[in-house]
Amino acid sequence: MNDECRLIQPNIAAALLGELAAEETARVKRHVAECPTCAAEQEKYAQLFRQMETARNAEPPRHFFVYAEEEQGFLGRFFLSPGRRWALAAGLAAILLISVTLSGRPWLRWDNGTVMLGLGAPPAVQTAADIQRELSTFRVALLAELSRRERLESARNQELLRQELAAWLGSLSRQQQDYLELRLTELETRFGDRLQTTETALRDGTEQQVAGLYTLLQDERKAELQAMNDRIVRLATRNELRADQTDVMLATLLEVSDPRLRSRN
Amino acid sequence: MATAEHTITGETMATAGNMEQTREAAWVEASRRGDSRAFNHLVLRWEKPIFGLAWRMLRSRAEAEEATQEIFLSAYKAMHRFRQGARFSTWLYRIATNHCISRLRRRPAIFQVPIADQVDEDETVKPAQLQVSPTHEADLIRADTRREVVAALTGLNEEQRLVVELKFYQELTFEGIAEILEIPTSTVKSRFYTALGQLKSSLTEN
Repeated sequence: MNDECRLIQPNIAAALLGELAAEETARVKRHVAECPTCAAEQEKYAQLFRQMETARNAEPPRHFFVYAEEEQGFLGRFFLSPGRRWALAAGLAAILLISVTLSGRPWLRWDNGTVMLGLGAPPAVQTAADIQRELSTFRVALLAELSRRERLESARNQELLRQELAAWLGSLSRQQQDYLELRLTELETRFGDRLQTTETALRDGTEQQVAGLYTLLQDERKAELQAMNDRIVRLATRNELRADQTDVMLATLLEVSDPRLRSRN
Repeated sequence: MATAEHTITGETMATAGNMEQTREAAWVEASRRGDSRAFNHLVLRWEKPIFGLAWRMLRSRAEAEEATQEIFLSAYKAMHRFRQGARFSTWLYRIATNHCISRLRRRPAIFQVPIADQVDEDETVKPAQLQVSPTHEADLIRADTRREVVAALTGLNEEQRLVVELKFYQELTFEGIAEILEIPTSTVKSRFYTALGQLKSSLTEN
């Protein structure tokens, strides 16, 4: 090992990684070509880099999406810290107890072998027919709310999907644009039809029928999106779209299509 | 003769890169206003490198999975503090490296990675593979090498390991790494080449 070796060896790794200026790289190359010691050193670094490459790819096991509800404001963070949660609960319980005691009119009633104790005006005695009527009203209100939310969510998802596609249209071919537009229109029409069916079921059917229809609706929507995705993948494999763009696009399409689909995966 | 075929030129690639940057800037801006869907686009873009960083730093897939989720959640919650015009990747890498270091420091002095965590799914031997084929043998050798590399990386100190991670695996520039770690570029270079020397000794000279 001579003086030149001592100058060259610290630069061998940098030369292999392309971190040196052209002139310095050429100097390292010239020396390594003539010096067996430095050539051996270079081979060791080359071997090291090959070994290190084996640890490069680490496929994530899932997506790491975040959701809006995970953001808590200052008050949320303050009160939901472990130490303060109990203090908050105890304080609220104390306030509740005091206010109820101060404002309450206690009552005691014997009803079909059960002792009932309460504050304020005692409840009226309900007949089986009353209970049935209340349950029925409650069910209708619940189903109406379900229907309203489903409709709102659907409209929001369709809008988001449209926006996503609009953002992507610039990088798609005319053929892909036409295909996506067509499928999206079909999807919206079919989804609208199914909503109608679901609403009819909500009015007339049993809970079991409603649940069945809802699942069917979700599964079919997923299948529709999957079919659209498969088509895009086929277009991509014909080199009409870059594969990595497609991956992001598919993931986004699925992600915006329905939050419940994400949570299933 | 001119053809209708699309040819990829340097200019085309540069335009694609610019488009990517513009899109990322839009997602960042929307995320700053609290749009979780825009932030999830950033997650899709960055989850692979960040998970890789966590996995090599922490040496456990399970812990890396947990850490990656926490890193993105921290970033999402801190988006309103992200300075406009700064590089999102630099900011995200800073959160990720700080998070991994903090996890390493919280570990007990003697920390054993569970054996199950050290074996990747693709390395598990399936019954049909028990008869050793040349491909399978090559896979096993590769898996052994990967374990040796990860063990050798663990042998470096935290500072060196981070620099190797960011330079070799994340392919960042020395200047970029200096910005993330908030240290001089010369220190980054010196740590990196010293670490490479140590890895060479432990992996190629035994």
